[in-house]
Amino acid sequence: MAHAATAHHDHQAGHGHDDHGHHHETFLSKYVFSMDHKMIAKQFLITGILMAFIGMLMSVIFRIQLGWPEGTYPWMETLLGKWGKGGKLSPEFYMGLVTIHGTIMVFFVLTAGLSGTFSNLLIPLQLGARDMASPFINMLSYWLFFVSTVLMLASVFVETGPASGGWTVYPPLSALPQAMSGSGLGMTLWLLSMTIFIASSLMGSLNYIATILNMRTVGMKMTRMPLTIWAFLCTAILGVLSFPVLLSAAVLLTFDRLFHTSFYLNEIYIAGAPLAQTGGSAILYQHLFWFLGHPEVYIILMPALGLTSEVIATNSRKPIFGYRAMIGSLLGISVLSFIVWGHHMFMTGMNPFLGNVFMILTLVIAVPSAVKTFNYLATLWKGSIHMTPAMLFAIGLVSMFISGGLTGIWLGNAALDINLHDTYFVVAHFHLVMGAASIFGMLAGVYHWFPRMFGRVMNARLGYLHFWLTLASAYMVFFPMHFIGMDGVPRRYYSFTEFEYMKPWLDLNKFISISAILGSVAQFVFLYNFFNSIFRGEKSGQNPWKANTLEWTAPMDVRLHGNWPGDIPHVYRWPYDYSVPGAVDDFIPQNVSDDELPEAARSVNREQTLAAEAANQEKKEEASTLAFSSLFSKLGFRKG
Amino acid sequence: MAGFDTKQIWKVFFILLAITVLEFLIALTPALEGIRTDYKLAVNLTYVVLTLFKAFYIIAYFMHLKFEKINLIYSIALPPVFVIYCIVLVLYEGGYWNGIREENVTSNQKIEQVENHAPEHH
Amino acid sequence: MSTHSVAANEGKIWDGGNEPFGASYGKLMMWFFLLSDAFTFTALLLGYGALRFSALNWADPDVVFQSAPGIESGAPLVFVGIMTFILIMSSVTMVLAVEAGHRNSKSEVVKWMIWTVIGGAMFLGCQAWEWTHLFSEGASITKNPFAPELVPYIEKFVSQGMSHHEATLKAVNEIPHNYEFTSLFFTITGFHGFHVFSGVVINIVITINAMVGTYQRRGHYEMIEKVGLYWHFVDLVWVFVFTFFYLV
Repeated sequence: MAHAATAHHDHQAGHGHDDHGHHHETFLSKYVFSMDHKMIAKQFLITGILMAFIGMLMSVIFRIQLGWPEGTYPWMETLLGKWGKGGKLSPEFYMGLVTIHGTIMVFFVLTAGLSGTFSNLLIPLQLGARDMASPFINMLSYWLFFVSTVLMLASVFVETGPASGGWTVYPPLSALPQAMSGSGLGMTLWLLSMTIFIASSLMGSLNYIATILNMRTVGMKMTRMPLTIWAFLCTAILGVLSFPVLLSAAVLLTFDRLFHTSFYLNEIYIAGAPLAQTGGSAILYQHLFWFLGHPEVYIILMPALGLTSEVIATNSRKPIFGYRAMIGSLLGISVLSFIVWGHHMFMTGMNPFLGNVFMILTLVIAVPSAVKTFNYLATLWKGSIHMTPAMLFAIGLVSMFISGGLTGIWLGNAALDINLHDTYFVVAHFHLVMGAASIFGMLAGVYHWFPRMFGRVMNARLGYLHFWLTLASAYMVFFPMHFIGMDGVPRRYYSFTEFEYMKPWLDLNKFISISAILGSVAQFVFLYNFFNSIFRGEKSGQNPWKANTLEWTAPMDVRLHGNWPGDIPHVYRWPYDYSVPGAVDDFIPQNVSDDELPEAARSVNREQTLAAEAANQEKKEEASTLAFSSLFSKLGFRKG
Repeated sequence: MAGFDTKQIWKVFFILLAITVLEFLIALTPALEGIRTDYKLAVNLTYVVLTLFKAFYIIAYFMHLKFEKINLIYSIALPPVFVIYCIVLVLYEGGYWNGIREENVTSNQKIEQVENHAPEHH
Repeated sequence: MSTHSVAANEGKIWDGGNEPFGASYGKLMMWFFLLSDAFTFTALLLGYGALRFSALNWADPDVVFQSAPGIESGAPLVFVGIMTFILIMSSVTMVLAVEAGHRNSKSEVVKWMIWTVIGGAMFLGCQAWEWTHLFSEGASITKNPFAPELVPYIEKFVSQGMSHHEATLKAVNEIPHNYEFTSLFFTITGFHGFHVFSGVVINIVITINAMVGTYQRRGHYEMIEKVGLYWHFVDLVWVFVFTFFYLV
């Protein structure tokens, strides 16, 4: 790793960035082993979309089992072979599908696919940099990610089946190959894939942080960065600090599996005989896993929140409400995410006193989350709203974030969690707040920055169809799950017909399954729209959404490695100068200096108003949140 | 560049050596045997504090962090706060497991006693 | 990397077109990588701490580590003291190489780098000896001859006429016991040893680069500084491993 970093440095020092565009490019160097951040972003996006569809189709298969547990489908045997004997999904493979669905969606789609795509695309373009700090490590990051996806998919095809212990792969189920068929080779491949994924994620994150700190163009102060970049910065910091802990947990788990150590195993009896491995603790794994696992949900969510901020401000033609509060809440969420992991473990037999600590801290997360929600709503308030598909998806995120976030307050309460833990209530909660919300943010990003990637606009009609079908089906799938969960139906069960008390929910389950299939079909509308628009979409022009940020100043038609043909534009203002009184247009791009504006629109005039607003905002913030803004200014940041 | 002069480097080396020697003295001096067994926690905390001193000298002087800009110092020095939090919580948790293990042992002994004595009651 | 540095921005370090941490991107990435790696080691040591706190008994380090080459027993911590000294020494030579790099003195950089490589290799040799010695005493990743619960069995076997060594081997192979201590010891020192090994390899590469004048042509020896950070980090981790496995 260290070596790779240095190898590239030699190259950089040799001939700088500006002559990148003149390299002779072959197909391999342009499309496959590309070091251009825009191409790497597309690679991440397309791999992510592919993985999302695989994960989604898996969910359709197990939803069919849950909705019609007695039914048989001949195609199931054709598709799954021995795992679908007699047209019926086998329980072992059901567990495998649930596990791989979770893993793919959490790590491959919403971590790499979301953060990988948009961090790579937007960090250099919005900051005014020629490329990432180290394009070589960036390329390596993608290809390690690719290798890890291949390994994860390979685990589906091994004879004993894929890893089946749930996406959290708790020992002892995952540690003992004799525990279940999926704990054999499939589990080993899972661990291997995840180790490589962690390396990929680390390389990406280090690059993002170094780029954001060191490569901003002249005038791009930290407080002039778009909120997308702030979100990517916080995400990258979380990734750097939390993924290594999962690495350690995975190393210890691998040793338990391969070398018969007992870090996570204690007093286990198999068929009445005690296992020689003893003296460890399964809860230790959960502590290590969730030390990653909780920041991980913000690694997933924060890029989506950042994209949403940008899309909402642009399409409301209004400055984002509470810019500094938004940054403060991102930082607040980042800090809190490291100290609340135990709320996933209330029911594990963890020390109950720690349960209290975790519960109190967990409920504090509601504060920065609410700040974000209210700021989104306040930005929309009295805006001149343009309902593009991207805007609809961004508003959809806010809706999902609220309805999923509210149940988080229930689940964060240790007493309520006794009843709700491991039921469909939890499934509903995290699918809404982390799954659907982040997917909505990602789709908002795809619709909004599609012109930046391909120079064309996606079809809006199909976009509206996609949005309404997705929104309706997402609520139709996940909202009823709350009721099922409150009745105590556990998640991950293969069949709903085994227990009397679950039977009343069978009809609702059919409804959920039908909605899930509807939602999946809707995604094919997106798939068609995406690939069709790459080749046949309407040409977008330079700045289709009339946005302020720098990425729209770089030429769209020329695929230039280095982004700007001449000098990099300098930055004179924050990115949210929409509808400025006195200005000719309702937007002033960041690279426009005051000299180019009419007298009335100059920032000198507005500075007093803004300063007053900022002072006001600061007071409110300090009163309501944890006074992050003051910490912030102590760390050397200044208002832009 | 500030902070890099050979005199300073050797000075830090001798500090590190002195701390390590001090640790050995605490661990090995026969006269301290009583203190080591009676005040185990205090002795262990002393080791940890001495280790943190060594870590400070390595990071500050060898890794040169002390002479970097204050921003870099903060961004390296602040994140380990999470680690400290995690260490405190998980070690506390380890102590709790220890209590459970001890309980299991005593309750197993009780069960054995009951089982051994059971025939006498019949 | 500062292709667009502008003199006017000096003093306003956060205003863009600048390096706000006064460090190149490569050095920043190395620092944050080390921060990340520190979390990896912390997680491993955390596992060690939690399992040790939860255990009802634990091996006594003064008994486990009482040997050195030529001394079979009765020399607690002597050998690890030598190992620690070697690693700190190699850290010193590394700093001296970095310092020479700041003066662009090629011959001195090469000299100190070679000493650093030798120090790293010696440390690895010491670790190999220590592991081999522990293996010969019956320890492995799943066998812990130092477990206190084995002591009565060993005494029993000795009273049956076996030598202490044979009795230990018999007990460790036949009696179920808690082997967390050796599992953790070999895992964590192994993980650290792997870092030392990769550090030595990287050190060799940059030593050769320095010899053939790559950095001389480049005009600066920042590479030595970056690798130096990694090498000191390895030393730093050892300081903690030493305390928690050998002293506490």
